[in-house]
Parts: sequence; structure tokens; C-alpha cells
Amino acid sequence: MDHLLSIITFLPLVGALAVFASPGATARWLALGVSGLTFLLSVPLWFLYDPAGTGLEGWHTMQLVEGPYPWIADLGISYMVGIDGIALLLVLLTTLLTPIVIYSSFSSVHEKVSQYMGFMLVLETGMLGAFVALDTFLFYVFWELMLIPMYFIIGIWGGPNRIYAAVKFFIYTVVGSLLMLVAILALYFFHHAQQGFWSASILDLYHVVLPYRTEFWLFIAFALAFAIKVPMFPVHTWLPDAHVQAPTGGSVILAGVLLKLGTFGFLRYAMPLFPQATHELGPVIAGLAAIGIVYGALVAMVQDDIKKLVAYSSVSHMGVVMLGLFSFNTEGVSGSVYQMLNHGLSTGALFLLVGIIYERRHTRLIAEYGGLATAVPKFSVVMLIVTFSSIGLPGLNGFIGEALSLLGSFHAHPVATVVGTSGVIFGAVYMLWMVQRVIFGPLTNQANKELTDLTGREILYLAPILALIFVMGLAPRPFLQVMEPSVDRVLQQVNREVDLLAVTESAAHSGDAVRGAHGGER
Amino acid sequence: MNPALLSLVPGFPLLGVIVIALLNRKASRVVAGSIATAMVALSAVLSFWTLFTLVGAHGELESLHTVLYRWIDVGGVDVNIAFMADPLTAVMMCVVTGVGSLIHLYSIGYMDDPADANSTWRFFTYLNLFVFSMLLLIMGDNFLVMFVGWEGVGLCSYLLIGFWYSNTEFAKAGKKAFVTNRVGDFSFLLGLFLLFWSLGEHATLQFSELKEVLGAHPELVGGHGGTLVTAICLLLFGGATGKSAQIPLFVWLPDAMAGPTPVSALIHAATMVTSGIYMICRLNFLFAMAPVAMGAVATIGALTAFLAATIAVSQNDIKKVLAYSTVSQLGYMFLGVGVGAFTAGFFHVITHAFFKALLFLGAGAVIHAMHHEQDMRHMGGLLGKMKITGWTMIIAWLAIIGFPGFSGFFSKDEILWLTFAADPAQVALFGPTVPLPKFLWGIGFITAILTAFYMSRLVFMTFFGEFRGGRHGHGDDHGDDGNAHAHEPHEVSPVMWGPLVVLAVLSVFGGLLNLPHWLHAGNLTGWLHHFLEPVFEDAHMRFDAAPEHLELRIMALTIGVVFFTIYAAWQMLMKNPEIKHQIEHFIPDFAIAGSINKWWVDELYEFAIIKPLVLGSRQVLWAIVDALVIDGAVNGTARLLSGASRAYGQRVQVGKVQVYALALASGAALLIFAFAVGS
Amino acid sequence: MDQVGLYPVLFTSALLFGLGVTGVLTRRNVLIVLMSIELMLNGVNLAFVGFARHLGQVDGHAFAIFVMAVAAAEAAVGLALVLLLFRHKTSVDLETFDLLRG
Repeated sequence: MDHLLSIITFLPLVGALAVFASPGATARWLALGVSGLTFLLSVPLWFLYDPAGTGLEGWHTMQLVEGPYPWIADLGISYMVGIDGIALLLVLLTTLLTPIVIYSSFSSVHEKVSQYMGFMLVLETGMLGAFVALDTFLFYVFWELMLIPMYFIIGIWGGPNRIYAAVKFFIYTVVGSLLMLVAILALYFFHHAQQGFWSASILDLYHVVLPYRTEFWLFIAFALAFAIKVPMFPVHTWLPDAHVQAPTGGSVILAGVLLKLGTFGFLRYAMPLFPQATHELGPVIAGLAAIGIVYGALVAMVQDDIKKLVAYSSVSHMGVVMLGLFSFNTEGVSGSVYQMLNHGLSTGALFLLVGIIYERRHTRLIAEYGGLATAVPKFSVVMLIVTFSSIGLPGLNGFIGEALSLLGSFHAHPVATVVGTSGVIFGAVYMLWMVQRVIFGPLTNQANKELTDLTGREILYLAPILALIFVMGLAPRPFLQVMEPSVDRVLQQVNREVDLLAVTESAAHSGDAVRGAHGGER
Repeated sequence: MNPALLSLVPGFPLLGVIVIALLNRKASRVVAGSIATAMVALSAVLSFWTLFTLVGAHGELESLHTVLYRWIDVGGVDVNIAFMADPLTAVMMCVVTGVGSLIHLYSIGYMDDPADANSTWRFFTYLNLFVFSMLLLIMGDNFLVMFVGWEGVGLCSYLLIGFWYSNTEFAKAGKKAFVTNRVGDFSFLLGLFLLFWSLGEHATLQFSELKEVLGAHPELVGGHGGTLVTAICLLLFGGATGKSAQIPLFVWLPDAMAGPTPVSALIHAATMVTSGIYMICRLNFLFAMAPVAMGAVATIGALTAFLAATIAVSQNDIKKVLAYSTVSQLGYMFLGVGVGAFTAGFFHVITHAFFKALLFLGAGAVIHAMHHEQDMRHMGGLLGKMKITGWTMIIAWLAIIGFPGFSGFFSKDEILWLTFAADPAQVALFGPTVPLPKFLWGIGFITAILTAFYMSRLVFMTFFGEFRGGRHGHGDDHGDDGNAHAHEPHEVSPVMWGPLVVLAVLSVFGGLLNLPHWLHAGNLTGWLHHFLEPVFEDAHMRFDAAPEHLELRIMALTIGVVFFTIYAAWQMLMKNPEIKHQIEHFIPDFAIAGSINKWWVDELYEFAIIKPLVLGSRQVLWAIVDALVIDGAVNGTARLLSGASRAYGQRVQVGKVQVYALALASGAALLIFAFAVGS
Repeated sequence: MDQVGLYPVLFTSALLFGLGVTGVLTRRNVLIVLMSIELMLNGVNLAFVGFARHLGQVDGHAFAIFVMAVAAAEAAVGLALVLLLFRHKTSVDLETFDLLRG
């Protein structure tokens, strides 16, 4: 299995072709089979990956690397994939959530089934590719590839206001990613100027030393692209619309994986590539993250639509992730990566649950529910568990990530963390208020009395998530150990002492060189 | 005993949770209740074994310790799921599992309402989960395991308060409890973060290591009286105010009475609410370094004790009186630990667990017998109808008001005396020379009078005088048949009065654990004090070695005033209601209204915090910031661009091929011209 | 033939091309516009051939033949489009075709 990563990445795309061509009923099972197989193939990654990185040299060691195979050889652009501990976990999250989403969509998608399933698989390839790509251009291609199927999933299978939501999602993301493309190109030219050869490999680009002003602006370009994806306050407004309009499966993937690409981007690209700017702007980003935590929670509190509530809760939770990332210490960043997984699981599960009652009642308004604990006890138990996971109850997964992120960031940004930690209060407020209005109280609405409880199929696809909620809360060590060496290596790069003299010298030098390079292009 | 057995102490209740949850509806009330009770009883056996192991070691064995597995290990955080039993833990374990198993047993009888038949399994699952969490809280050898328990008991509290979730008010009360506790947890977490980072390379979350580190490097937290250690202690105490219902976070506890009465007894009186005091006792070495924080603890405790007592005097719901009484007694405990009398404060935790659990279970028996009637105005004369319940309640009453010889007398008296004698330098909220302890003693003394009054009022209104029941339709929310005969209260079943009797015995003789020195009781004198000495000795608390006679005089004064209060209450409430009216004339209207309306604290929070937050979020953050400003900017940009392109399109993109061709040709001509001129 | 230099050829070519451009820009009948385009192509062809002869290389001839082939294809596609347009609008007047208006 020399090409396991590539096989995992492209299997869904190949499967998608077959799924597009087959009729709806077959397409369902075929898509489930393909994504299930992808998951099964990705499981060995866990065992093949060696957290300690024995025998590997250098500060940033990727494993299971394939390539570089020349892609656009003249420009030094190649096909190169590989994973570190962080990417490994996110790949596994993706391959786990996709079959769950596909299985859950059996009952919710009835029109253009094969296209829906096909797009889901294309989306999976896009997400996996973005996690495993080691070449910046390759990363960019996958990054944009994700956008297209998601655009269609929202725009075709979404709610009444789907076109607006899809376009908003698309344009928001594209604005960010175009800026990122410009920054990638600039970095690429700087690399050529300094090292004398063309390469777009992230491992090579890490060696680029930039003059401070340049670094600052390139960081802004990358950070904006990723901040929109996360999404951070104040560029979050695409999220509630996209979530509310998207079909259940779209919401789960969006919250579960797509948002993680924003934070993953910070960790893989923006932070280690531009360490000075990262430190310089760290307080600003931490501040925005803290505002996002409180803001997202407060706005979530006053929503009437459950899905919108969960969407805003994502803004709040991802704020914790950002706060942890910009702590610049092992505790905070590990917690942050852990929180990415947690958020993928618990928010994914929340969207699945909302989808389950939406299928039965065709409304998401909180006021329409109440007393569900009496009508659908199994559903309510699952909902409570997921709620408490989302709130960060110790013993469940959410606590580990939240506590470590906040602990870490308290060291770097005490004030922002104090503000952000208040999220533990507001998080409990909006989630429990929603639970109180939806699950508890008297069962008065006749329509709710006739609800059917979770079916076997629904329990089947919720079970892995529930199991992980407990396992990751009680035994986080395997996960933390897989990621810790990688986190440390990223931090080494982010916190490296930058020799200021070298920077000033190379500023003059690379400035000329860049002009030279441009001249050469012409 | 083998330390590995410690893991079984929380293990049994957890097993109970799993077994009952798996059986769910198949487990009837008796089956589920028996399993749950048996599990807690097994824990109790192991707890007492632990206690006797430590007692038998005569100080040679400092603590038992066992590591279950390594939990979190990242960066400087290295935390095991590990349990520790030192004397403090062992005593608390016995209290929790001992009282816990009695209350479990009692619950089998209490939860016999046919309407609940399908959900009693849930009740016992939660109850066992609670005992499990509580044991984690007290046995955890580090902050994080303690915090798991800390939040776990909060969860169980939430679930049990909202046990009858169909009632929206009950569900709301559960949520209120959880959220209020979260406010405390917010503070607790910040304190934890601050502590962790201030230790630098010595960072640890384990209690014993922390004690060693601070002993060796007190400068890490700023030394004795340093700002840093004061901030840490205040933040940790903030967590305690949430869990132990102190000012400003006490508002959830009275509402928590929505839960079934055994829950109120176990969680909201005997065990969970004392965890704040337990936490401070556990961290005594840390708090001892921060006299300002100690002063804050003592002052908040005294003020809470007083405030809650003023509310308790006018409540008519029997459970509400007991709830405010609990808040008040918790205030006493904080007063005790705040002035440095850790043993005294903890002693009161134990005796309070006995008599308050008894009071709640007794009240539960009354409520059960009265078919869910909780208003004392509809009770009266029940002593004749419910002899065992009545007499055990009377014992509990004597214990709580501090009747000489009963358990509460010894613990409360010790707190008051040590408060009086405490060195002002260790309670230095307003500076080391201000005689704060004397002032706090004054508050405690007045509170003792109020306690005697409201508890006497409760007992008199419930058990003495004429039976006033049956006049009002009651128990309506449980849809009883209207048969007046069925409402005639009668004694409860043995499974319920059994625990009452046991607790009554403990309430009488609990004082034996820590007899005062002036009784000259030989080996029994200050047993608890000596047993806990290894835990508290490093705190080095100082008390005025005043002559013995001053202590005895102060005690005599307290006893005298309490006796007078009981007599006055009897006169006022039972013999001559005229006096009551006359006294009410002397009290300002404001004070009476304040007491009845709980000093409008809930309303204040509602008005000053909740309303502005909800309205602000809806009207400002969501409607203005999100929809108007941000989305306005986004959509505005889009509209601007599309408007501009439309204008451009209408002028230039006319759709006529020839116009385009002309532009093309002109462009080509221009280029040719440019090349011609350029070359 | 030998007496004819490069310039007269180029002049004729430019004249033809100019006529074609004028036709494309001014005539309203689509068919005439198409014919004008043919005129432009042929003007270019003439220039190719002229240069080829002048320089003594065959490249220009080859290009001219390519252009003829493309012109044929263009005429075929163009006429087909005109036919469809006529069916749609019952007119061959260019002024009536403005679907691309912004």
C-alpha cells in the first residue's frame, strides 16, 4: 500500500462517477459502500502512522509521503501528499462522518438522489485532499474543489432561501481564497528568489524568510481566507444562512469538517509560514476569537430556529479553537486540535438530531416542540448526551478540548481568555434553554405526540458518534499522543527565533530578486 | 487495606448506573431501588474500611492512594484518574456513602407514586450517578478529577431537579441550578488556570504535589499574602459560592427544591452543597497563604448565613424553609473555614449532613403523607398522626438550633467560639488589625437566634396545634382522587422511617466525634480534630488562647438566647398570636416584605443581568450587528457591484455584434498605430 | 508576374481587408456581413501569399491554405447560425439581434 493516502483521497471521486451514472436507489447504497470502504481503508492509517516519527529527520516530518511527482514540472508544482498527526485525525474524522452523513441522507433526500450522493463523494475527495496535500497549489485545487459540490448541495437540496445562502457561501469563501492564491504566488516567487529553484511544496516554503512588512500582508491574506472558513467574528454571517438552508447532510459536513479546514489552514499554513506576523497579530486574533465565543453564544441564545442556534453555537465553539491555536503552547494547541474533533462530532450529531425531527415534523422552530422527552425518549437521551458533550461536561469529549485550549491560551492572552472562558456559562445557557424548551415541559402539541422515536437505522449511524463522545472524554491519551509531536513541531516553527539581521539583509536581496523573477516571467 | 480497592468505592455506584440503565423500564421501583441502595451500601462498607484503616494506623499512614489510569498527558498537564484517601477524604466518604445509602433506602418508599412507575429507574440511575460523581469529587487526587465530580454532581442535580420534567417550572429550576453553578465554575476554572501557570516549571494539578511545591517555593504564588495567591483563592472560592449556594450565587438552591425530596436531602442538603467547603478544606494550605481571601470566605459565609436566615423566617413552604436553612448553615461552615477553623467547619459539614438530611427526609415523609402538600399553613398537629416522623424531626430540630448535647450544638458552638477567638491577621479582608472576627461572630450569633426561631416555627406549625389540612384542594398537580379520606395523613412505611431513626441517632450522638476540651472527656476530646490534624497542620492557624471561662460564658449566652427564642416562638405562634402582630409592628414593613420576597434577589438578577442580556442579544447583537452591520456590509457590497455592472452593461454591452466589432477594430487600429509610432 | 513587386500585392490585400472591415461594420444584413468576413480573410490570404513569394518560403502558402479551410468551416457554421437566427426572428437584420445586451 504505497499509495494509501492517494487511494483514500481519490476513491470517493472515482466512486462519484459511478454514483452519478446510477439510478437513485442504487446510488444510495453505492455511495454508502464507497464512503464506507474509504473509511475502512483509512483505519490502517492510524496504525501505519508513527507518532514519534522514529528515524525521520527535521523539524517538520510528514509521514506516508507520496511524491513529489512532477505535475507542472517547469513551475516546480508537484503532486505530493502526506500526513502529520493533526492531519491524520482530521482525515479520520472526515472518512468517519461522510458515510454517516450518506447513510443519514437515505431518508431525507428523495430528489436527484444520485447527484446528491455523487456530490457528497466529490466533496469528500476535496476535503481529504486539502488535509493531505503537501504542495500549496495542490492544496489550493482541493480547497476550491470542496466549494463546488457544497455550493450545489446547498443550492439544489436546500431550503426555501437556498440560492441566496449558496451564493453567499460561495462568494464569501472565494473572496478569501483568491487572496490566499495571491499570497501563495507571492510566497512561491520569494522562494525562488531565495533558494534558486521553483517549488510550491509547503515543506520548501517553510524555509522562506520574509521581510516583516511582506510577511504581515501575506499573513493577512492567508488569515482572511481561513478566518472566513472557520468562521471567525465578524466574517461569520455566511454560516447561519448556509447551515439553515443546507440539507441535513450538508450541515453536518459543513460543521463537521469544512470549518476545520479553516483552523487546519491556520495551523499548517498561516502560522508556521509567517511566525512574526502570527505573534504580532496573535492578540488581535485571540481578541476576535474571544468576542466570537461570547457573541456566538449570545446570538445563539435568542434564536427561534434550532438549526440557526446550532449554527451560531459553531461560531462560539470555533472561537475556542482559535483561542487555543493562538496560545502558542502545547497545551493550548493540542486542546485546540482536540476541540476541532469534538466540535466535528458533537455539532455534527446535533445537526443530525435536528434533521431527524425535521424529517418528522418539517419545522425547526423551537416553539413548535416541547415535551419530547415524553414522546421520544431515546431521541431525548441522545440529544441530552450530545448537548452535554457540546457544553463541555467533564467525562465527555468536549471538556478535554475546551479546558486544554483555555488553559493554554490563558498563558498567552489572559484577558481574551477570561472573556472567552465566560463561554462556559453562555454555552450552558443557550443549550440548556433550548433543551428545556424542546425536550422538557409538557407535551401539548398534538403533532409531537405522534412522533416516532429513533429508528434502528438512526441509532446505527448515531452510535459511532456517541461512542466517540465517551471514549474521547474518558481516554483522550491515544489521540493526544498522536498529535502532540506534530503540534510541537509546528510550534517550533511558529515560535522560532527569527534572526532580525538576516531578515533585513534578505529583504533587500529578495526585493531585487523578486523583481528579477518577474522580469524573467515576462 | 489494599489501596487499589479505593477504585471500587466510586466503582459500585457506577456499576449501579450501568445495570439500572440497561434494565431501564424492566426494573421496577423496588428492583431498581434495591440495586441502587446495595451499590451505595457496598461503597459505604469500603468507605468505613478505609476510615478504620486510617484510624488504626495512628497517624503512621498519611493516606491511601491508587492510580486507575493515566488520563490526560499533554505538555505540562499530566493527570491521572487517581484516587486518594487521607483522613479528610475518608470521613467525607463515610458521610456521603452512609447518608447516601440511607437516603437511597428511603427513596424506595418515597417514590411510590404510580404516576412515576415508569421513571423510577431513571431516578435511581441519576441517584447512583450522583453518588459516583460525588465520590470522584472528594476522592480525586487532583484538580481535574475533582472537577469531573464537581460538574458531574451538577449534572445529576440538573437531572434530578428536573426529574418531573413535564412541569416547565421544574425544568427551569434545573436549568437555573446548572447555569448558576456554571458561573461559579467559570471562576473556578480561571483560578485553576492562574494557579497552573503561576507554578511555572513546577506546574502540577495534583493536590499532594501542589502542597509540596508551595511548601518549597511559596514565592511562586507571591508568598504569604501575595496578590497572586489571593486572586487564585478568591477565584476558587467563586466556584465554591456556586456549588455551595453562597452570596451572590445562592439563588438556585431554593428553586432546586423542585426535585423529589430525597434528592433535596442527599444533594441539596447533605452532600453536594458542602463540596465548596470540602474544596477549601482540601486546599487549606493554599487558602492559609491568602488572609484576604480567608476574610472574604468568612465574611461571605457570615453574610449568607444571616441573609438566608432572614428569608427562612417568613417562608411557608416547608421545603423552602429548609432550603434557606441549608444556605444559612452552609454560611456557618464557610464562616468556620474562613476564620481558619477548618476542623470546626468540616465538623459542621458532618453534623449538618445528619440533621439536615433527617429534616428533609422528615419533611419528605410529611409531604408524602399529606399527598404532595408542602404548605405548612395546611399542616399542624401531625405529631399525633406521625409519631416516629414527628419525634425524629424534633430531634433534628434540637440538633440544628444547637440544643446542648445534640450534635449541632457542638459543631456550631465550636465555629462561633473559634470565630470569636480567631487571629484578625488571618482573616484580613480589611487589613490585619481590623477586628473582623468579632464582628463576624456577632452576625453568627444573631443568625443563631434567627435559626432557633424559624426552625421552631417549622416544627410548631407542622407538628403541633390543630391539623389545618383538608380545607384546600391540594395535590392537584398529581391528580389525586378527591376523596377527603385518602388525605388523612398517617405514618409512613418502615422503609422510610427506618432511615429517619438511624439519622436521628446520628443527630443526637454526632457530637461525640469532636467533643470540646472543657468536657474533659479523655480520649474522646477532639477526636476529629486529632484525626484531621495531618491534613490541616501546615495551615498554621492561630486562635486566641483566651481563658476557658470566656468560652464557656459565650456559650452560655448563646444557649440562653436560643432557649428564650424557642419560648418566644412558642408564645407567639402557638399560645398568643396577638404578640406576633404586636412584634410585627416593631419590624419595618420593608424588612417584612423583603423577607417574604427573598430580598428581591431573583428579580434583581432578572432585571439587571438576564433581561439586558437577552434583549441586548436579540435587539442589538443579532438584529443590528449581525443583520444590519455585517450582513448589511456584505449585501451592500454585492448590491453596489451588481448595480455598477448593470449600469456598465446597459451602456456598453448593447448586444449588437457590430458595436463590438467596431470596438475590436478600433482597438486593433490603436495597437497598430502604437506599434508604428513606437518603432 | 515577375514585374509585380510586394507593395502592389500588399496594397490590394489591405484594400480587400479594409473593404471587408467596412462591410462588417456598416452592413445590416447578416449574409453580407458574412461575405465581408470572407473578404477580410481573402485579403489576409493575399498578404500571406505575397509575403511567401517575396521571401521565398512556403510557410505563407501553407497558412493561406489553412485559412481557406477555416474560412470554409466558418462559412458553414456561420450560415447554419444565420439559418437558426432567421427561423427565430424571421429577419436577417443584425440590428434585431441583441440577446447579449447587459
